[in-house]
Amino acid sequence: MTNAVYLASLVNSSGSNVTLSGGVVGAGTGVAFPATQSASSNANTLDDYEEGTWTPSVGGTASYTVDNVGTYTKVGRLVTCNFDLQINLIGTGSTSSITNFPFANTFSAPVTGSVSYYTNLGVAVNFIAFYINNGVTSINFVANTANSVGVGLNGFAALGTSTRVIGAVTYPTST
Amino acid sequence: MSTLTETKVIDQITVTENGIVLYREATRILKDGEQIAQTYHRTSLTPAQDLTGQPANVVAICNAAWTEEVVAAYQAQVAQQGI
Repeated sequence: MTNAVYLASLVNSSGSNVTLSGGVVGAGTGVAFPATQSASSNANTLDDYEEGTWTPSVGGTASYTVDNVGTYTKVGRLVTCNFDLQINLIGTGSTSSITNFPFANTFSAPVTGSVSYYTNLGVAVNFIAFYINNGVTSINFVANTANSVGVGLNGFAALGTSTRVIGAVTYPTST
Repeated sequence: MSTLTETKVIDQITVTENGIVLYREATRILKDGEQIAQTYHRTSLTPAQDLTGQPANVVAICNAAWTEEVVAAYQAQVAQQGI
């Protein structure tokens, strides 16, 4: 069997999609993976693709605006999570952590995420970022409120009523 | 005339080694009974988290997975994870 024949066997009748076993083709053109990952042990095999939404949360009695959203895209074992956290009232919610990320981080060390926009933080800062620890689905903020050669505030209380933070993080996950 | 319907189903529930419950809700659009589109929304629940408002089948799995030992081990893990 030639490579051309193998490829032809993967393309559907419209000639526009490649459907892997268990995949469901929707509108448009692309490669359809199965809804549930069929994990490969081969380091050179792409075995999953999924995109969707999640809801960033600080827990407790916090309330949010209707625009509080998160999205994720998982390619193989790597997931990128974007969020636009928009707190209405902080209540008893956490001021230093965002929870409910869609996958757990499986890297052995903390993975850093970036903040692209913020307003109404609990404290003025000149640096802010966050990290997700191994094995968890929540992030903690780090910040400096003055020039420093290191991170001054680990577990920084960044969040409060009317805080908005937009950020993103990419990390490996096992599922 | 075609009939469009929308269904929501929890199609995946995963429990991680340390007791975090990850679940996926699929929203499916069907045309005359055949799926034409699907979107996902994911949620993660950590051991001992408040389960108010969560789906009954997810709550059942959380309650089974979150033994006292699992909760204590998870809380210990988080407590010692400072950089």
